[in-house]
Amino acid sequence: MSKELLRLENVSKSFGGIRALNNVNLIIKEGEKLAIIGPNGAGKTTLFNAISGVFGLDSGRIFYMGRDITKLPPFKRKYLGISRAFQIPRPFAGMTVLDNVVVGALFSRDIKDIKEARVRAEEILSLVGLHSKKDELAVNLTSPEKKLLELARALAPKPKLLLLDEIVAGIPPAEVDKIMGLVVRISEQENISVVALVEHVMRVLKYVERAVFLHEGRVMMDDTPDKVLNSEVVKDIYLGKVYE
Amino acid sequence: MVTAEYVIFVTIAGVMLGTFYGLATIGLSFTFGILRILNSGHGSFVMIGAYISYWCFALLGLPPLVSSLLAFAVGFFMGFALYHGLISRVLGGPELISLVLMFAFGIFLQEVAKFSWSASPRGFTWGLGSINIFGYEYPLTRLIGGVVSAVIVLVLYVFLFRTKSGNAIRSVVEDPEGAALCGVNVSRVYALSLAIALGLTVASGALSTLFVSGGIEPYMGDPYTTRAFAIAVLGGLTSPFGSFLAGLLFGIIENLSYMLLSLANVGNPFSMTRFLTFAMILLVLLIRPQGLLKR
Amino acid sequence: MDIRTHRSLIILFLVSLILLFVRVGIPETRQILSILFFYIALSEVFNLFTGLTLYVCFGYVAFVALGMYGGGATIKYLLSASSPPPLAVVLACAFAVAGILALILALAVGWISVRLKGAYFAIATIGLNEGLKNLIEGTGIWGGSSGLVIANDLIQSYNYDTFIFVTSELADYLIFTVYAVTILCIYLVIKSRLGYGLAALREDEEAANVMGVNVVRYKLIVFVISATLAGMLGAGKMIKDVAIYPPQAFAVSYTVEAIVISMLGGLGTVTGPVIGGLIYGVLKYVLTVSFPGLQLLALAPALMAMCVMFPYGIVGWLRRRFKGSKIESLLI
Repeated sequence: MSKELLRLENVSKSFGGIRALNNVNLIIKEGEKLAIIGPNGAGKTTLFNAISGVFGLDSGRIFYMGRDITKLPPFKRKYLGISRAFQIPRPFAGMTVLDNVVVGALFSRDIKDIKEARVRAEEILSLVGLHSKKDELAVNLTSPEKKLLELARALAPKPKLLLLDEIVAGIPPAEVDKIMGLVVRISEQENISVVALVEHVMRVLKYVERAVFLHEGRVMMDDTPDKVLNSEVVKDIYLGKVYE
Repeated sequence: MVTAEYVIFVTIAGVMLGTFYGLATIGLSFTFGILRILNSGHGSFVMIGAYISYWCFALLGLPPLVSSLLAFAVGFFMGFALYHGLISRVLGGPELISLVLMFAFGIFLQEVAKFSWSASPRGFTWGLGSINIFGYEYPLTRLIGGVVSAVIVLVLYVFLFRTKSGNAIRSVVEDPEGAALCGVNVSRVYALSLAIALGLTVASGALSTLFVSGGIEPYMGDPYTTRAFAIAVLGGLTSPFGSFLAGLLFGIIENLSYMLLSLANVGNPFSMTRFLTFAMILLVLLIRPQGLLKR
Repeated sequence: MDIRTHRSLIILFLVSLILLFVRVGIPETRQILSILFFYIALSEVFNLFTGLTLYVCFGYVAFVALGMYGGGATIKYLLSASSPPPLAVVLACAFAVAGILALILALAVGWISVRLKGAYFAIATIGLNEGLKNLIEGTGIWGGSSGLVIANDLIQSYNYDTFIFVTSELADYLIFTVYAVTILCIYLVIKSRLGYGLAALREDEEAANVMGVNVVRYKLIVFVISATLAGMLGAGKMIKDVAIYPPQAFAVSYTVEAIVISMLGGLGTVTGPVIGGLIYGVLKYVLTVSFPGLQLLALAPALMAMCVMFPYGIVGWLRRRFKGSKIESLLI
């Protein structure tokens, strides 16, 4: 039904002899919401780094909207609409909350000038509920607030593809619903594809349509969340850890 | 006229000079590799060594070979003092601060030297005569300087790979947090490393008088800073022994390029060689920022 | 980076105007204010790059020296004609050439060095000063090691009174103009997309890159702007000093002074260099009179102490001290 947005072809990456990504093939469609799950060290964050261009690949290619972006630096990918929220929030500590989000908004194809970026930033801050803190320095936020700021900064540029790295890790269950509800609402409004990295798929189960199980740098399963969750392979590898 | 013998002679002289350059640079990459601090005042420590050598010779009649031991001790002590007094307070802060701090310390040493011993150049001659290489006279002091530099580097190698403290230092290079978890006192390792690094640098300053017997003045270190940076980036910056090899290479290049520049007669070969040093830094950083000799 | 910039710039503007009026109105202040103008301009130009990026170029003085040479050589060349052009044309050409030469050097060095991070950038640029000095001495261009003097050219082409006016009055105002232009540039930069990008890269370069900031290009742009202004400042200094000799022109002290003033005032703030420059200028004036030749001996430990004890400078300290109050919003 919907068009392909991102395609990874035989992507591999090693670090000092360890194959962090091993021949990964993955297609993400427009507007799709998908979770990438896997135990610690499965290569999830490496996958995100590869998609956002933090390092070059050993082999394989990445296509975005039909265009080969394998060699593009991170800032160009962001400009084209690939936006990322870091696992450990990395706000620009010495800048205000608003300016953080303005930076996120400003450097993208769809936002033309600072004025527009500010309007967009205020809008997103209201949506995530941080508007009252917009003039605070980012360094002074609490950790859940920093997570929200990280999310706001990633949503601000009206991305096509949103990469959320452990956005709900360390967040109490009630808050998870709030954050994920927000992500789903905004992404449906703006037709954003969402890829969420999670260690425990249970936490985001009801928000995604598809789950990809990554283990030792390989895609082990790619199916509906239910099927992935109930497969023997996944159970074996997690040793029941999923049912916390 | 350039004969094959002359080229060989210049190359051999380059090897001797290069061994010394290697020693004069090893401290720089040692500090950067371990403390992640770039000693932007590096040359001033070389200058202090040269003065130590001068005064030991002028006042006590001690040859540079002996005074280099004293110079090592002085540098070693300075390293400890500097670490506990200043460096430990800026570690982990913005890189800019440690850069400015070391730069300022270098200037401070220069100004103290100028204040104490005036800006006029000094020199001395430890006349040992020379040996004959393919019909060209080569001062014996330089030969000694090259050999002693190599021996000192060998001692460092043995220290790093054969002693407990050396192992602790190497473990910190690999993984500071892991080393701390394994019971290595990281702060002590940092202090010791800086002490060794500065000890080696000051000692190399004392040995520098074996190669250039004159021109000992407060600002003589600046060319050493540029040169050491050039050598260190050639060797990959974080690897002390990479620096040593790069120094060897650099000595040969410098001597040969001096020879060629004199022949080509483009300007003053002495200044031009120094200009080329800077150009080489940019070139290396352009082509292979991780260093020519690494992997 | 919004309303506060405006307010602090208005204050800066007022302070500068007062300085300018004092300089015009009270001839006795000439000596000290001429020093102040130069140092405020020097550190503001330095701050345009280092303050906005937190990268430090230790070879910075090379751009000032190149501007001095470029400006001086231009003046010498134009005045060697049988009928020298009007003074204004000569000075304008001197500034233009100085700026263009510095711009070219900055593009060449910057193109390589801004790709590098942290310490590697320092390595790439620390030899700049030595490199340029040795190139001039080695090739013998611009008088080589014997220097370039333009005093006689000015006196013979115009007259002694004009010469005195140009070197002791006009030069100060030209330097002041460079300062004013620098402030304007900083203002334009921080108000723009470039400013947001730089603010982000100063905090976290990798995250800024992922956020869409072209870090390499942005660093290069401010490096080149800053170097060009430094070259023009050099032209102003050349017109003031009417002579340049390699050992003094490439003295490391200018770089140290620029760092000291910026750090004293508050690195990366617009008002910092002015505050730092005022304090430093007065101190230097006093020190030169009472302890000639010892400024650096006093300066180096002061800089070391600053690094360890208050790296954020006076403005940074005041901003913390008066956090949340109006004073904080005035100091940026």
